[in-house]
Amino acid sequence: MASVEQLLQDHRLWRGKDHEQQHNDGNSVATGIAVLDQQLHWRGWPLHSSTELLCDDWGIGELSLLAPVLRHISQQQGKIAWLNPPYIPYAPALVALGINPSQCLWLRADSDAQWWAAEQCLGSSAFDLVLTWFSRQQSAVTAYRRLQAAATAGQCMHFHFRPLAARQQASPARLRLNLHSLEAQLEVEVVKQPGGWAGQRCTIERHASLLFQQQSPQLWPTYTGDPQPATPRLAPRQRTATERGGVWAALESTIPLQPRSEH
Amino acid sequence: MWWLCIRFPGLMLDSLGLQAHCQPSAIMERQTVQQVNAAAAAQGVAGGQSITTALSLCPQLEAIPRQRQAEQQLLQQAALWSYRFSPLVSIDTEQATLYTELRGSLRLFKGFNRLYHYYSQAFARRNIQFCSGLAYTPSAAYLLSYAPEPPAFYRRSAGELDRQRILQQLKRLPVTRLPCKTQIIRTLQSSGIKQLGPLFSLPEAALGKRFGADFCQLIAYLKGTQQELRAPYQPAETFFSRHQFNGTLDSKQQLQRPMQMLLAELKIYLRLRQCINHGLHWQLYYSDGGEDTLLVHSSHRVFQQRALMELSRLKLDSFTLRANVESISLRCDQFESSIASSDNLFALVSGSKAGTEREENYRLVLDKLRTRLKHCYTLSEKNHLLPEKAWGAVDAQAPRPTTLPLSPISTRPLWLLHEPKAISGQHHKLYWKGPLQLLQGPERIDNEWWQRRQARDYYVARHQSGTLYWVYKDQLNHRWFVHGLFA
Repeated sequence: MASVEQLLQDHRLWRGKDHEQQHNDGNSVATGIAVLDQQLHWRGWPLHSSTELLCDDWGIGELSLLAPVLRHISQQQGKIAWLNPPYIPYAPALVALGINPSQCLWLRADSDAQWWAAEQCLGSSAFDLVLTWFSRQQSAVTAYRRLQAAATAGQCMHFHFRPLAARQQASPARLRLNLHSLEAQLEVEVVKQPGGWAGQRCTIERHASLLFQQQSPQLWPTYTGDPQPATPRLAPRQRTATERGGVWAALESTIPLQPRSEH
Repeated sequence: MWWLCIRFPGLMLDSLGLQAHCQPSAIMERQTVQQVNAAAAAQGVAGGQSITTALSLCPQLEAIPRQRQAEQQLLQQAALWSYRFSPLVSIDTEQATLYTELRGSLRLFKGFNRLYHYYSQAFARRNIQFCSGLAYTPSAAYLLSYAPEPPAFYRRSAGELDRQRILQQLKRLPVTRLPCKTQIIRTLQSSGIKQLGPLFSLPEAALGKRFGADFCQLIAYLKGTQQELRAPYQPAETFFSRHQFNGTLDSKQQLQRPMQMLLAELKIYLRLRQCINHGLHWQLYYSDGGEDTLLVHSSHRVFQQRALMELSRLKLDSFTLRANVESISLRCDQFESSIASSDNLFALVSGSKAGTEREENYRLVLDKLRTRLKHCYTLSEKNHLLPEKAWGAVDAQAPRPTTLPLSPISTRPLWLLHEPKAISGQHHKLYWKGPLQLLQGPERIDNEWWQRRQARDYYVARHQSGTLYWVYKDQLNHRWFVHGLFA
C-alpha cells in the first residue's frame, strides 16, 4: 500500500489548498491552445496516459484541438497511430497542418482485434501518440484500465474518442473532456482532470478562414474598363436576373434555388 | 590433430524417433530386418531376420521401411551442431558417422572434458544413441568407437593424445571391424590373423603387394604414420529442420515446445553463417498425409527468438489444425548478411541510442500488427488535382525519413469520406442530416478530360449543429455530394 505522501508525489492525489503548486512538472505537454491551457491544472495534455474526448459528432473541430501536439510530435520524428478512425485521414490536410503523413500509421481492425491492437501500439514504446476510435464500448472498466497501464508502460500519449453516453461510466483516464459544438465554436467541458477539481468550461473558436462567409456576388465590385482618373467611379453594376445562376442564389437564404432549365 | 568420431548405431530408428518407443518397431529394407528397438529386441527380433520370422516372433511388431532422407537429415543436423565446435567436420553416410577435428578448439572451450560434455549433451537431450572414439586420424577414431573406453581415456594429462594407449586398444580389436572389402577380411581370417595386433606387425610392402595400395594406406592411417584428409562439410544455403514426434500432437499448445527447439537451431545456424533471415516457413505434417504451411514475415535486424516465437504463436492462433500433427518443420530460404550494430561509446546525444531501440521496437510492433490485422498502412501525399487521388496509403514498412512537401493547398478537410455521399436538394435547399448552409466557394476542379471528365465545384458548408462539411456540385450530372469533414 502506497503512503499518502507517495501518492501526492506521483500526482495521483491532489490537495485542495495547494493545487497551485502542481503546475507543469514535466508530466504534461502544452495543448497549444491558450484558452484550454488555462482551464487545465496541469496546463496541457497529461503525458503517458489516456485522455478521453467525448463527442457524438465528427467534424466539429475535435482534431484541431490536437493539431498543435500532432505537429509537435511530427517535428520530433515521432510516430502517430490512427486506430479505426471514422473516415480517412486526408494526407494533404495533414501536410497543411504541419504533420508529416509518413509518420502516421493507419490501422483498421475488427471489434475483437482493436483492443489488442491498441494495447500493442501503446505498450510497444515505439509510438508517441495513439488515437483510437472504438466501434463498440465495453461495460467493464478493466479494458480501459489495461489501455491506461499500457500507455504508462510504453510512455505514449493516448487520445480516446468515445460517445457522449460514456460520460456516465467511470473511467481510469486522467483527463476527460466533453466536446460540444455551437454555431461557430467548439465548447469544451472538463469532466475529470488531474491535479484539481473538474467542471471548467471554455469555448474555442474555429478557424476563421473556414467560417468566412462570402458576400453574395451582387455586392462584388466590377471592373468597367477605363483607367482614367478624371471620370468618376461608377457604382457597382447590378447583375441582371439572367446572370444570376441558380448556384449563387443558394448563398442567400431568401432567394430559393432555381431549377436549371438550360441543358 | 585430434579427431573425434561419433558413430550412430541406431541411426535408422533415431531419425524416426522410435528408439524409446514402447511399441516394438523394426526398420525393414528389402524384406530383412535392419534395426530393432529395445522393445522388439526383448521379444527376440534381431537384425538380419526376414520379415516373416520377425512377425512370427512378435505379432505386434511395427515394420517401417527405411527412410534414408530422414537419416541424412539427422546427420546434417548433427554436423551443424558439430560445426559450432570446429571448422573441420566430415560426414560418412554409409558408416553413419560424424568426424570432428577438435585440436584447435580446446583452448576456446577450456579443455577437452568441458568440450566433450557440452558436445555430447545435445545428443543425450534428443535421446540419440551414439558411440565415440578419439584418435589422431579419423579411421583410427572410427575403430576406437567400437572400444568400450570413453574418449577421455586416450588423453594424457599434459593435453596430448596418448599414442601408446590408442595403438594398444586398436591392436585388441578384431579384423572384422576394418572398413574395407569383405574379401580382404576373409583372406586375413583364413591366414590366421584375427586381430589387428598381428596385422600391424606385418611389413607394409608385403601387405601392399598382397591387398593393394588402398589397404596399405588404411593401415598407415590406423598406425598414425600418415595424415588423413576427409571431405569437409559445408552448411547448406537454406535452413531446413524437421522434428518428428513420438505419436501425434493434437493441440496448438503442444506445438510450442518443438517450435522453440527449431527456433533455437535456427539461431545457431544464423550465428554460424552470420546472416539474418527474412521470415519463417513453418510446415505441419498431419498423420493422414496432409500438409499445411504457415508463413511468418519478420523485418527485424537482430535475431530475437522471443519475438519470432510470439509472431509464430500469433499466426498459429488464427489457424485451425485439420488433423493430428505428426511432425513440424521449419525452412528459411532468404537470408541477408547481418550488420552488427555498434553503439557510440560516448553517447553525448541521449537520443541516439534510444533511436535505434525505438526503430527496433517499431519494427517488432509492426510485424505483430501485420500478422493479425490485414489493414496496416502509412499515409502519403500525392501530386494530383482530384482530391480522392491526392492521398495514398502505402504498405507500412521499415521507417524511412522523409521531408515535408512544399506549398500545401489551403482549405482541405482532415476527414475524407471513403466515397462521396449524395445529398438531396429538397425544397431547393441542401439537406444532409439537417439543412446545410454554404459558406465559401466555389473551388472548381476540372480534370481528367482524357479519361472520364470530373468537373466539380467545391464549397464549405455548415450544418445547423456546427459541423463543417466539404461538399461539391458535380457539373456534369448536377448533383450535390459531401466529400469530407473539417475536424
